[in-house]
Amino acid sequence: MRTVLRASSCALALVGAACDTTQPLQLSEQAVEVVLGAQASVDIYDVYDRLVDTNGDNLPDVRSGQAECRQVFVGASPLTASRTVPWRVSVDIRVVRAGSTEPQTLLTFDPFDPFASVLSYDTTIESAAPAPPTPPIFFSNGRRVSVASRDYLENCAGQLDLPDPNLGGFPLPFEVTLSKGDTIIVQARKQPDNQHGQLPPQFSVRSQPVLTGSIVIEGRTVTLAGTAASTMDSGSGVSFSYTVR
Amino acid sequence: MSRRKAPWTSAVAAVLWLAAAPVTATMEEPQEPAPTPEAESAAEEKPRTEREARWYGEVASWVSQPLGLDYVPAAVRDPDDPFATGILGVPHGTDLDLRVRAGYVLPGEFGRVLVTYWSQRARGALEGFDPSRFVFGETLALPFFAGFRDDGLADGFRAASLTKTRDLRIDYTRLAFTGKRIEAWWSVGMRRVSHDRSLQASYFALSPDLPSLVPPVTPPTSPRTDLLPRPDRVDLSSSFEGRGLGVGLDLSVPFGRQVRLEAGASIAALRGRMSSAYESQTHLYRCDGSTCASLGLEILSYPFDELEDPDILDETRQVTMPLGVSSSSLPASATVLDAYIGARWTVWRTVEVFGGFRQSRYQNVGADLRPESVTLSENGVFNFESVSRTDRSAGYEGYYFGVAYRY
Repeated sequence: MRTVLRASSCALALVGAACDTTQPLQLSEQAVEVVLGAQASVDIYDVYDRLVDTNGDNLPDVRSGQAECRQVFVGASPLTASRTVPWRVSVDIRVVRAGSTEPQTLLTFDPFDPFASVLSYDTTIESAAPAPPTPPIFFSNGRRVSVASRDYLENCAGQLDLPDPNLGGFPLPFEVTLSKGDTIIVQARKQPDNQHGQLPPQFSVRSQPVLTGSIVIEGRTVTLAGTAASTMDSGSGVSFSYTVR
Repeated sequence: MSRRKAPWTSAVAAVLWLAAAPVTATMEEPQEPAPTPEAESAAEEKPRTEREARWYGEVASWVSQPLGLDYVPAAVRDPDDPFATGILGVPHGTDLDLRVRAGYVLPGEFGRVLVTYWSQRARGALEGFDPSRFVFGETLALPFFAGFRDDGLADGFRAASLTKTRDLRIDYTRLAFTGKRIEAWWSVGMRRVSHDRSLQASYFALSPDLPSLVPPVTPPTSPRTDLLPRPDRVDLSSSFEGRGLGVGLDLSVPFGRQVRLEAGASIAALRGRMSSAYESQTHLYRCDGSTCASLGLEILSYPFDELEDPDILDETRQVTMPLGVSSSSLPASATVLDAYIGARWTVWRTVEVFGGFRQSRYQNVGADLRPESVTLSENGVFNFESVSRTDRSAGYEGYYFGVAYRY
């Protein structure tokens, strides 16, 4: 009986040792968001809708279709703030798949597309102090925005044909699905300021913008390799990468 | 083109002549009376095992694994421990190759002549990728501009090796002594070995922290993908062909009438010629435009901040630096050592099956050439002040199984 038990124990030990407890690799895919943005110091304006008293009752009747744009000053100095600016960039996004050495182009810019690769507008809106009427003109819906906002550009600068924020024609943030071991490489460069006026949107900045990039996975901003923030120099850029580990 | 007769064929002829000499001597001895037809027919009716089989052949599968090839394409650095850098060798699995042997038993007790041939082609591969972590040392590349940062480090590498060995033996073997428990055979013969080895390695900068290589939106130009780091490449190869004399001793221990254990060893000293070559390709960024000239820039170095300037980016190109050294047909000597142990079972009259474990070592059948001290002159010409040569060997070991037939 003892011999049988010993033999059984040895057999079980051998079977146990032979078992491979390593779980098979799971090639989990992750949705990755590439975020690019530019920040610059820009002027602040109070913008109001203009209403007109058409029947003389000292009350606003109809919208004039124009906006009242008033630059905000602090003392004698214009009020400025660091805001997201719809700067144009040239961009190139590649991915090196796990085990491969050849990068695949996911996105590249088309230099001949006047609407391509424009970063996000400033969406910050604060309330503006009520503006006293100057009959027959009345002001309503006062809001404080920057010159980099779509509101200002459309209503105050008269730029009606503004491009939507995009990277190479893709919406911002740029989304891609990566697997374990994949590496995404992002390179972008600001349009130099001296050429800025050639393409919309057109606005002035108090300081050259800083281009920043980030990668977000499941709502979490990950640590990048490379340079994810540009200098303020005209035409500088970012170049960073991330490997899914 | 005249074709010279290879010296080893003369040596083989000499061995055969030596083996045949005793036969001639026996023919000169007084001949016995010719057998009668009845006696001849009686001889034909005897079982074949009782007659003296003349021809011998065997085919074996040797599941061998190469050892000690010393293919080391990369080192891996531990950023947290300066003493923990390890070297990465190309692993090799087992390969099944045929080892064939044919022989002729000389009349009388004058031994046998055996011809043995074996060849193996072993491929190995190794790769490692850790994008953006430059932890792989380019052990084979020349230090000049090796690595994207010119520091000899890569964040990925891929290496492939190919090793080919062909071994031909022609032996004369004869009984040394015999007893109740053991039988020994000595052997002497010619051996011809050719050995080729090559290792190709590519080192990558998959995720380089370069400044942005895309130009500004305006004026319209395309991304400078030509500036993405090209992989550094190294190609090492050597080829040896040699021949020489070998001696051996084989022991056989019978266990009953059908089974016997066997073991043996042999050694051969070879003389031949070896050719080796080394090629390395590294890369650098060179700026040769007016902007760079005004700034005194020519060869850019890490971190390549100059590329932030669109004008410098436009004037920069990636240049390949090819460097190599080779030696052709240099005299070389090598040694071959063999040892085996196994068993042989007579399964039917003249048919045997056998198996065992065999080890072979081909000493100094390869050489790696490497430029050691390289200088770069002002006009961009490289000079090798010294070149190192490292002898390489190849070992094979593994189990073998086969079948033999005597006729």
